[in-house]
This record gives sequence, C-alpha cells and structure tokens, in this order.
Amino acid sequence: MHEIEKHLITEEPYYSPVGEEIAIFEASYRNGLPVLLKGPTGCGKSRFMEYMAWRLQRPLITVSCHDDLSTSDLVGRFLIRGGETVWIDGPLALAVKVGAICYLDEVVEARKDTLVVIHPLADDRRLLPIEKLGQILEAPPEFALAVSYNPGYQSLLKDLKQSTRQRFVALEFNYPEAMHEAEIVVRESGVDLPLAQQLVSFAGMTRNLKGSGLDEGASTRLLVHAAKLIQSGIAPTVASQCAIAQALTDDPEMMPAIFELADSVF
Amino acid sequence: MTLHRLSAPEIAEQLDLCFEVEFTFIDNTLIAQRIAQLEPEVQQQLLHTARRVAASHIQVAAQLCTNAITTIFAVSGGDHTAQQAQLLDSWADQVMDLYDRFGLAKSMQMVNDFDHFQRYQRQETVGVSLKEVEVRLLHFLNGLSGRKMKLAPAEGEHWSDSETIYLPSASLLLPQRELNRWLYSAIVVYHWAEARFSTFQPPLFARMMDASDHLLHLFESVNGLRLERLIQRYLPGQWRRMEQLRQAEGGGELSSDWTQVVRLLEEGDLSLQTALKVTEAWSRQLQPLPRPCYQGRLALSRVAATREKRIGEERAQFRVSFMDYRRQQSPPPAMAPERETGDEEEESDLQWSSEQAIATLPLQLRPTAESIIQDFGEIPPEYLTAAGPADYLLLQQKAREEDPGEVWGGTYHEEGAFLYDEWDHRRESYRKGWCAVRELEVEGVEDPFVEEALQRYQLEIRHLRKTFETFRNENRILKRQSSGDDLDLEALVEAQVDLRQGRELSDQLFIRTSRYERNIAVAFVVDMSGSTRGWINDAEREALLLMCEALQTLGDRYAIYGFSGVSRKRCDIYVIKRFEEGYGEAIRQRISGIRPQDYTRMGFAIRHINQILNQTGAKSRLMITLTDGKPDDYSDYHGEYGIEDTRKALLEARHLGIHAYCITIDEEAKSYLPRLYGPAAFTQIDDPRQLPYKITDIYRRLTSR
Repeated sequence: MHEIEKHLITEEPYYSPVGEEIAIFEASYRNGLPVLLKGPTGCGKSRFMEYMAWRLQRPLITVSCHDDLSTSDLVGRFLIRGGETVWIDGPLALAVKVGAICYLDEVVEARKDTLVVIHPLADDRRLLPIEKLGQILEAPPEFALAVSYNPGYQSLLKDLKQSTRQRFVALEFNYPEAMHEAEIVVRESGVDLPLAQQLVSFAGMTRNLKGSGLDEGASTRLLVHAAKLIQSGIAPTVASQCAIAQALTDDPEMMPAIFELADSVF
Repeated sequence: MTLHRLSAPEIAEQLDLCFEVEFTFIDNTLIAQRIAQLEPEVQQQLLHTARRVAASHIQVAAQLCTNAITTIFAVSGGDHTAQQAQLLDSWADQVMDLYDRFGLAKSMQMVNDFDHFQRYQRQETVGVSLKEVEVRLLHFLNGLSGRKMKLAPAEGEHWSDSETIYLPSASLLLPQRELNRWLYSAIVVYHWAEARFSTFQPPLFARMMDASDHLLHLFESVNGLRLERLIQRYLPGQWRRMEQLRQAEGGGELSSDWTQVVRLLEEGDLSLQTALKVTEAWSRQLQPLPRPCYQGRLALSRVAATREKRIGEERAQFRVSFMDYRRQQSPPPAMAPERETGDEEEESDLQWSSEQAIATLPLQLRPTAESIIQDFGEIPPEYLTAAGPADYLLLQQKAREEDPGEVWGGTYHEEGAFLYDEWDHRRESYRKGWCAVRELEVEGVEDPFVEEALQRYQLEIRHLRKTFETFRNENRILKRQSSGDDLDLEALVEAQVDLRQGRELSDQLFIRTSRYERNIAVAFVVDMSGSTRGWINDAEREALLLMCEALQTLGDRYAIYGFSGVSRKRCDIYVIKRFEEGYGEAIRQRISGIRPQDYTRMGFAIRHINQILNQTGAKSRLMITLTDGKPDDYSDYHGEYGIEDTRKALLEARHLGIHAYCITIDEEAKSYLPRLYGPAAFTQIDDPRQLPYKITDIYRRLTSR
C-alpha cells in the first residue's frame, strides 16, 4: 500500500468551477460511470481531476497517452528480476486493485486497439481482464475511470471510436469567462487584477485567430505562465512573447502579428 | 572569363530576335549603336533584361532599354557597378509588376519616368510596402475583436467602408522604416476602432450625411479624439505608438478649447452621441484639427452603401439562425425578448448592448450578433421575432450569389477565387496571384456506366480487395527489445546461458509488436482537358472506380480532384471526392459524371492540391496525376512555359514533403516527364485500356514499405 500513497493528493488543489462539473463528476462516481473530459488544452481538465481526487480522497493515477502506448503499458507485464520473471502491474491494473481514480490524459493519442482494453472496465461489468495472468480483476466501487481529449485539434486520423466514446459521461470544458479567467490568473500567479485582465484580453485576441492561422488560442495555463514571469520582474510584453506567442506558433508571419497584439495590449 | 564587346550589328541581331521585329517593326539600329558603346558586362545585362521584360511586353522592353542607356548608364565611361546592375533589375521588376497588375499604360509611365522610379527607390530604404506587411497586418486585424474585417489596396489615401480597410501600397511618410511599419498598424487599428466603437451607427448618418464640409471635418476631428481615448483605454501599447507617430510628423499639443472637448467626450463616456453633440455645439468656435497620419477621411456614402447591404443579409441570417436555435432549446433561452413574462431575471438579460449578452448566445450566432451590435448598439427587437419568408429568400439569393459556377455567367473576375502564383521562366520570377482558381463540384450522373464497369471488373475487384487486405495492418514483431509486450524466450535462454557462464546479462529480452499504421493521404488529380474525350475519359473513370473499390479495403485517406481551364482567369478544380467524404453512391455518380472540359493548365492544379494535401497532416502525402499530354493552355501556356511552371509547382510540392507521381498515356512523355517528375516518378502507359489495371498496381508499389 505504500506505493499507492504517493498518488494521494493531500493538499487542496486550486480549482474554480465553471459550471456544474463537480456535482456531475460526483454523481458519476457514485454510480460507477466513467467520465470523458473534452476541452482545449490548458483549460483546467487535469487540474479538475486533481481537485476531484482530493475531494473524493482517492489516489489519482495519471497516464499520458501516446501512440506507442500498448496494452501491456496499461495492464502490466512480466519483467526479469534476478533470473526470474516477475509480474508488474501497469497503472490501470494498479488503480483497479486499490480503488484509485485512473486518468488517461489525451486518450486519442493512444492507438485504437490499445483502448479496447478499457471497454469492459467502462461499462456495467467494471472488469479488467489480465490475459497473461489468466485473471479477471473486478473494480471496487471506489475505482473510477476518467479520460480526456481535445476535440479542437483532432485530425481525421485521431478520433475516438463510437464504441469507446459511448461508454462515458461527457463533461465539456472551455476557457472561463473573461473576469473569471482573470481571477484564476490572479490566484495562480499573484499578479494584480488589472494586469491579469490585460493578459486575458490578449488571450482573447489569440483565440480570435483560431482557424485563421492558429490551431489554438492561448490557454489559461499559458496566461498563468506569462503572469508568473511578470511577477518575477519580466516586462509584460516580453513575458507574453515568450510564454504565449512563441508557445503558440512558429509561423514567421503569424509570430510578429501576435507580438504586435501583445505590444498593443500592454 | 572575359567578355568581348559586341558590335552594333551583333547587338541588333539579338535585339531583332528578342523584339520580334518581323512583326513589331521596331527599329533597333539606334539602340544597338548606343549599347555597342557600353562595357561588355553592361551589354550582357541589358540584353538579358530586354529578354526578361520582352516576355511580358515587347514595347515596354524596348523602351526600358532605351531609357536605361540614357539614365542608369548615362555616366560617361560607363563604369558598370553592382549598384547600377541592381537598379536596372529592380526597375525591370517594378515595371513588370505594374504591367501584370495595371496593364500597359501604368508600366509605360514607370518606364518613361525614371525620376519617379528613383524617388520610389530612395523611399524604398525608409518606406514599407503593403506587400511586405500585408499578411502580418491581416493576422493582427483578425486578432482584434469584433466584426471580421478585410484588407485591400487603396488607389490613393487609406479609408474604410466598415468591412474592408483600404491601405496605400506603400507607407513612406515618416523618416524611419520602423515608424512607417508602425504607421500601417496604426492605420489598421484606427479604422478597426472606427467600426468597433460604434462610429457607423444610425445617428451618424442622420446628422452627418448632408452636413457641410466644415461640420463633417470637425466631426472627423472630434471622433478622432474619441477613438484615440478608446484605443488608449483598450490598447494602451498601440496608443503610445500612435503618440510617437504624431510627434514624428510634428503634431503639437491640443489647444485649451480642444482639451475642453476631450473632457466633454470623457464625461459622456466617449459615446458617438456625445461626439455628435459636441461637434454641433462647438461648430462655430472650432476649426478642424490637422489629421494625424493614421486617421483617414470618413467615406460616409460608401460606408452607408456597404452597411445597407450588410444589414439586410445579417438580419436574415440572424433571424433564421436564432429561430433555429430557439427551436432546439427547451425551454427557450432566457435572452429571448419575452418581456410579457415579467420575470426579473429575464428582463436583466435583455441588455443586448453589453458583451455579456453576446457571451450568452450560442457560438455560431456570436459573430453576427457582434456585427449587428456594432451597427445598432443593440440587437433590434425585430431581429428576435420569427424569420419571415423574405429572410429565407434573401439567404437563398446570397447562396446563389456565391455559387462559384455563376461567376462565369458575366465578365471574368477574381472575387472569391483562390489566387495562385505562376512561374514565368523567361522572367525568372513568379507572376503574383496570376491564376484565379475555383473549386467546382462535378455533377453526379446516374447512368449505367458505373454498374457496367463494376460488372466488367468484378473479378479484378475481388482480387484487388484480397491483395489490399493482406497489405493492410502489417504487424511486425520486433525481437530482442529492452522493453515490450512479452518475453523473447530465445533471448531469455541465451541470457541464462550467459549468466551461468559469468557473462554480462543482456537487457534485450522482450518481444514488441509494432503495428505499422498506414498514415497516408493520397490525392488523385485527373486531367479533364478536352483531349481526354472518348477512350481516355472512359479509362480514367474506370481506373478511378477500381481504385476507390480497392482503397475502401485499405482504409487510406484519399481524395479525387479533376482540373481543366481556359486561360489564367478561369482555372477550374473539379471536386470529385474530398478527403473527408466517404465513398458511396454519390461519389460513384460523380466519377461517372467526369467529362472532358477545356485545356491542360497544370501548375495551378498542383499548387491547389499541394495546399489541400498539406492540410491533411498525414505522414506520407502522395499526389498521383493522371494525364494524357503535356501542360498546354489556350493563350500563353504552351511548350516550355507550361513545362517550366509545372516543374516549379512540383518542386514546391517536393519542398512541402509531398511525393508526386504521374501516370500518362502520352507517347512523347519520355521527352519531358523526367524533367518534371524525375526519371523514376512516372509511368507511361501505351494503351489507355491498361490504365485501370496499372493504377492499382502502381499504387500498391508506391505505398508499400
């Protein structure tokens, strides 16, 4: 049990709700329903998961998905130790065994055949078969499964299969309203409110560019980064350039336009 | 290598050829005599320039040579410096550019007025051209909130019609390049602010449309101050730059009367109403202020015309979308104007003028709502009532107006077309925005062709499906990996032996299954020129059908486009299947509907498909062209010109990481295709009937690992 304690969140993470997401997550948790978080990058999905894990007092096991992620990476595999083979649980099997919350971040990045392993776990059976051991784990009521993805930048290639997505309760996340977002920036970075509002107004400008040159506008996370730099004494225009504009694009025409927007706002 | 000085007859001979004297009757004797006196390097450069410019227009080229001798190379002794060479090159470029954009008269004007060109050259060092900054400015403008606006070149001063900002082709007013660059942004911000901060609302037109010049100019000054204060509030950084620009052009402090005006404006919360009131109240005491460089004249009548057109369209659009939205909502959204309910909360939501009100609308309605609020300061109540039949009619009419096929009903124009550059090998430069390209849908045809073809090739299709099936989902087992899904028993046994013998234990004891995912996007580009009529067209259609059937099994993403055209103004891309469309009856009918059209202008098609392929984000992008002959078009796209432009377009494709392959039935293909595609990237088929068999085979070969 010692290992799992690392995954317990002891301090309350800062999370400012936008709608009814906390109540919906709790209701899903009580009913053993898996949850799908949709939303653009950096709008607070992972923070929400940390907050919910703290609130429900369950360990949170996060797996960042990628296209090389195999079923063994999730369920577990044999390793050689001292000339003998030993079974090591993967993060998903571990979460099922100890009744933790397993959070698969950016789930569409994982290969479709890998994701099939969560199917029996994400419906009313709540089972995780471990083929190599010939075992079937039954998830305790404390176990929860959550996955996240960003519908914004999905190419045709990367989409969730209907058989996967139709197992989840979906929560849609977006950037908070301007004032709310400014308050979050203040709370996270310590800058004063007028400056946070300027940053939010700049973020709004980059979000206007979504679809006309940018794939995504600036996320709340990037605003917090810029605000932290400003708080450490970096000039607002420079901080916006480094923490926001440069992070958004490499396009030689787009970059100066965003720099100029930053110069205009501050 | 030292160049030898050419004699007058030698030069005359070259110029005769270049200026096609047989037809033009240009007398080259005098020019040749003058060029004969110049240094060999100058002679070569002049002849080279003459050839380049003559590719655009012979008279212009002849005049340019004559004038260059008397201006650039007029210095006695004719020391040929790099500077002179550069000057001639840029004069020629400038002249050709003017010829492309505005025609003969303007380019001749530039040829005959060297002083004008030199002034232009001098200003080049501090000036900024619109071309240099256009893309950046457009991104910048798109980033600012409110109605999406466009940029366009102005013939004289800058102005705006509330939808488009017209900018001068160069910004040269200020003494430093950086300031001129800022000036462009300041002009854009100023005109954006005009529209964004409610200048063009009904009271303006009611009170200023028929006002005297004095009153209108005074209003421009008052409104200018109002907008500057608003810019200071929302874009303080931009306002500071505007201050610097004003200082750079020698702007002074405001008089006490004008300071009083600013105070009044601020007390009235910088509204349009206050600006109008102040203008009228102070019209006798005040004279208009000199306009700062970023402030344009108000083009009221043109704004009114644009506004009137927009209001009708947006009202229809908003009413129809809003009613659709309300129908989907249950209960209806709180912001609907159901005043009679008397609900306190609903009443407070009716404050349409605020940004919060926009935020309560669904995403798809917000841009129109923002634009409407810019025009009226609120959403007028009648916009929130049920959409009448007139609205639907207006929307239908708008859709008809935008039908790309209709554009060709009248005179040729480029509105709404994709503009692509074209390479002119004689000029050694691109002709900017030369080809007007439109995407047209191929009309599906219900005829027995598809059925017959599927029947005829049913055996082949079955065979193809099988081969493509095995080709799909290649699983590879990687042995001796340091991590993996399972133990590699063979490696494990060896490791045990090593261990017993006291040797080091390898860590590569695992098997990993790696699935090769086919991340391929392929575009088939079909030549639909008139010469494909008959057998070739049938073969193309059959080949595409077979290919689609096979690709269904394989699961690769694919698109099919056709191309044809008449001259650069009418370059048509025919959409047969887009990447996002699934293969089905509709696509089969469109394939059946492929009909021979006009000529084979090829460069634009490759450039357009390049853009489409580039957006797919696939790892391997492939463009397979089916054609029956070399690039050729109605007017100027013959022989070397067409081949060189196509070659350039293919080089652009390669630069973007797109693999281009060509299947042709032209028997002479071997004489020019290696230059276009490279020796190994094309196939020549002797019999068109072989095409359906060959194409699937080629595809399999191209995409296997």
